[in-house]
Amino acid sequence: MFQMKKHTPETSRGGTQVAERETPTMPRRTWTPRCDILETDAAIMVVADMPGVDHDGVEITLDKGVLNLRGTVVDDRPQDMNLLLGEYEVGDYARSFTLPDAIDTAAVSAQVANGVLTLTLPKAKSAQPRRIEVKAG
Amino acid sequence: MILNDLAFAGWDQFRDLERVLDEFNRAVGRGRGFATGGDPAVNVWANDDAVVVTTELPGLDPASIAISVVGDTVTISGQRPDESREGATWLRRERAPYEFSRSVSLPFAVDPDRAEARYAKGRLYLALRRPEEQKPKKIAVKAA
Repeated sequence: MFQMKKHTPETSRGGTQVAERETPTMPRRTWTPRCDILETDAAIMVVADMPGVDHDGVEITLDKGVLNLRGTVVDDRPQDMNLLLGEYEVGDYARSFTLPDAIDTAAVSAQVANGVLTLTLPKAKSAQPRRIEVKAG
Repeated sequence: MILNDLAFAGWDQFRDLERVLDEFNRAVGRGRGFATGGDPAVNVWANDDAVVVTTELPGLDPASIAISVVGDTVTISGQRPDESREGATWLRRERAPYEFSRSVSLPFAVDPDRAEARYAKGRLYLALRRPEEQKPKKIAVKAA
């Protein structure tokens, strides 16, 4: 069996833990969310599975051509109950992509629905770094 | 050209490889090492009165999730719709549409009439109660 390193835990949908190159700041794991990237004539769309994340928990930054997605979950483990069977672990999500220059950063929009983040990056010429606010979805 | 320019940030490629190997390991290793296992993965929580089953199912229509309870077994099934968009080209596809059906054995029989299911933020939360007559009873010990 192939093994890159010692057992890597998974989320329920198969995302893997982010490589341990940083010191964790929270007592929780950070997973790589599964992502789709689609291109149309007008835009590039990034779709990421982030179960447990709502629009308040998403932070998107676009700086120097790198798009950083971060999702912070609210752990809703039941109170006063014991875990009998634990097949998945709850954690935050982080992933980065490099983007082409031809993105209109002023027109980027994002929404979160049912634990899925959808980011629309319209194509354009300008490439100013800016922070993107997430709309309620 | 945009399509060619859309590369990934440095070490992310290595992580991609790692994830593929990880999923392969998971696929061939299923059923080994764990007493249960299946898709989707579940967490089961319980106390004397109730049991809670949680699972992560991002991007589903709540109406497409079917839950059935028989005795001490709960079955969750559903599917994620095909999200193909007209006129769009996939540059990367990791979130395939999927269909699932998962049965979980609970530690005791539950009352199907008092089940409560919630789907929020892509997570399913299913609370099931134990029938009153089957709850553990405390027996007071009298001094002789």
